Amino acid sequence: MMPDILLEVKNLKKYFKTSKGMLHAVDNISFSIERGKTLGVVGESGCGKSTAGRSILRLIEPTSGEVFFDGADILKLNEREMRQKRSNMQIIFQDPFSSLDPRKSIAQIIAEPIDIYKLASNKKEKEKMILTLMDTVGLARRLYSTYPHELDGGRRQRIGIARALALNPQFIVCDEPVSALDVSIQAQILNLMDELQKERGLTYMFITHDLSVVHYFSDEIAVMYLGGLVEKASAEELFARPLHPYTQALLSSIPSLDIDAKTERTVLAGEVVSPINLPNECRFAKRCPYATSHCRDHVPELKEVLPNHFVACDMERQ
Amino acid sequence: METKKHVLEIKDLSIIYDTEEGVVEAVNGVNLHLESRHTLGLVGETGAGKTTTALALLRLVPDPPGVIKGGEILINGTNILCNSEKEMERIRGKEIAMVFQDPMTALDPVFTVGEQIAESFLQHEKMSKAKADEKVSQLLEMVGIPASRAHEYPHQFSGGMKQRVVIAIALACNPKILIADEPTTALDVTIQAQVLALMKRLRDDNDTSMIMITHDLGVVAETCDEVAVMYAGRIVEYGTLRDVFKGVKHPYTEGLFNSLPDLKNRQQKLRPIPGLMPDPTDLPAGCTFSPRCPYATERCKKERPAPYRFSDTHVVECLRYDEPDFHIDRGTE
Repeated sequence: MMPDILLEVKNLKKYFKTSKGMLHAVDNISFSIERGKTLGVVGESGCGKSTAGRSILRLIEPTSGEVFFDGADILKLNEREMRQKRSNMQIIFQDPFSSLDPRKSIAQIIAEPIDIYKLASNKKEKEKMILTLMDTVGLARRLYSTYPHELDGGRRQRIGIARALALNPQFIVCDEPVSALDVSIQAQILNLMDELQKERGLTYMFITHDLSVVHYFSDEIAVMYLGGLVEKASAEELFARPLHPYTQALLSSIPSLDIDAKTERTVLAGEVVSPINLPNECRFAKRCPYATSHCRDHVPELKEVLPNHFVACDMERQ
Repeated sequence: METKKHVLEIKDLSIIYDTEEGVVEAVNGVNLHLESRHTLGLVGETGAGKTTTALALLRLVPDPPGVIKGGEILINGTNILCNSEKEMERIRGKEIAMVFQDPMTALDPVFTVGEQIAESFLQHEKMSKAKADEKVSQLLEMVGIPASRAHEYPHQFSGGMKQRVVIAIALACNPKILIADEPTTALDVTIQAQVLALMKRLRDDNDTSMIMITHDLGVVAETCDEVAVMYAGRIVEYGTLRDVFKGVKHPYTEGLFNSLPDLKNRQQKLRPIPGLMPDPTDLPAGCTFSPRCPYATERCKKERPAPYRFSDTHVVECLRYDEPDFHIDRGTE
C-alpha cells in the first residue's frame, strides 16, 4: 500500500544574504510526512529547524525548492491562493509570552482567525466557536475576557493551540511548543496535543531541541545540523541505531535519569561553525571524531542505508 | 552515626517579598546542609523558591521587597545573616560564589572578558597588572578558552563560551562553595554536556562544594550526591541521590518523574501533575501540595506536614506516611 503523504518537501533551500556572505539557514532538505503522523525535527540552536518550519508555511519565502501539500506545490500559489491554503496549515509558536498580543483578550486572540476567514455569520455564533475551542484545549470559560499577562505559560500555550485549531487545519507546525514550560505543565500540553491529533487526525511537524520529548512524541525523527538533514528514521530506529556521528553524540549527551547506568558519553569537541559561506565538505567534518580527508572535500548526500533509515555520512556506508 | 563536616548549613530559613499585590511567601522554613566536596541538587519548578534561597546564601535577596524573616545560614559555623555588608563583601567570591543562569545577561557588554574575570579577584587581592593578566590567562585556560581571547568582548563569544567565562569568574578566588543556578539551561545539549563535565572536573580539582539549582532531573542524576526537592518554598523531599531516584517517597517528586518521557519505553504515557503551582501570596492551608496531590486526604488540607524520616538521610514532608500502610504508586513498581 502506498503511504498517504500529506506534506512532501523537495530540495528546500532558504538562504539569507548577510554582510559576510550567504547564510545557508536551510540547505537542500527533502522529507515527507504521512497524514495523521508526527515528524519530529531535532537539532541545536541555529541548525535551521525553525526556518524550515516557517519556509514550509511560506511565513518566510523559501529561496528554492518544492513543497507539496495534498499533492499541490504551494510555492507556486499566489498570495490569495496561499491565504486559502494556510487555513489548512497552522503554527504553534515556542514562546507563549511573546506570541500573544498583550492588548487583546483571550477571546479576541482566538477570534482573530475566525474573523479573517469569516467563519462565523454572527456574534453569537462566533462566541460559541470561541467557547468550544476553549473547551477543546482545556481553558476554563471564565478566562474568556482575561488578558495573556494574567495567565501562566501553560495556559498561554493552550491559547496558542486554540488559535491554531480555530480554522480546523490538517497540518500544524509546532515550533518548540513546550520548551518554555515547566515539566509538569509540559506533560499536560503534550498529552493535550496527543489527544487532539487522535481526535482530529492532525499531522504535526514537531520542532524541538529536546530529545526525550521528540522520542516520545514523534513517529519519525529528522536530525538537522547546520541547515542540512543528517539523519532520518522512525523514532524507535533512530534511538536504537543512530548511524550519523552527530546523532550519536547528540543522543549520548542526554543526561540519563538512571543513576546506575554507566553511559559512555561522546562529548563533542568544539562548537557549531558558522553557516555563512560553507566550505565544500561534510558540514559536520570539523567536529566529527571519525572525519577523514574524504569528508573534507565531499558533501555527503542523504541516502537510505537501511529500510526507511536515511543518513548523510559517507563513512557509515563503507 | 558518623558526624560529617558541613561547609554550609541552612536552618529554618524564611524569606518573603513584600509587594503591592501582597506578601509573597517565597521560602518557608528551609533546612539544608552541604557536605564538603559534595554537590547538592536543589530541584523544583518555576517559583518554587530555589533562586531566592541561593541569593540568600550570598545575602543578595533584593531588599526591598525581599525580607529575610528568620533562620540561620551558617558558613563554617558563622551565621552570615548577622554579618555586616563589609564582611559580606569579603565572603562573596572568596568563600561562596555563584554561576548565574543566563550567560547572555550575566556579563557586562562594555568590558572585555579579561577585565571582568580580573575584577572578581582584584576585589580580594592586590596585585600587579602583569600578574593579574597572568592569572586571567590561567583561569581562561582552565575553562578551556584560549588565553588570547581575554581581550575580546562578551558578544564575540558563543553561549557555551560565555558560560565558561562566567564559571571562570566564579572560580577566580577558589571559593569553598559554588552555587550554580541553572548553569546549563540556556545551552544546547552537546554544549551542556561539555559544561557539566567541566564543572565536575573543576569541583574535584579545587575541593569545592557545590549547590546545583536546576529543574532538570537528568542533570541532577548526572552531577549530584544529595537532592532536595522544593515546592512552594519548602523542601518536600530530601535525601541522597539514591534515596530520591531509587526510592522516591513524596507525591510531588513522583509527579515530576511521571511527567518526564521515559527514553526506554515510548509507550509509557506521561502522567502530568494536575493543576498549577499555588499562588505564593495565597498559599493553601495544610500541605501546600494537597490541592494537586492524588493521595491527599481531608487531613492534608488542614495540617502542615512535619518532616517524616525514612532514614538518616531521607526525609519527606508528607502526612500520609503517618499511616503505616501508605505508599505511593511508584514505590511499588
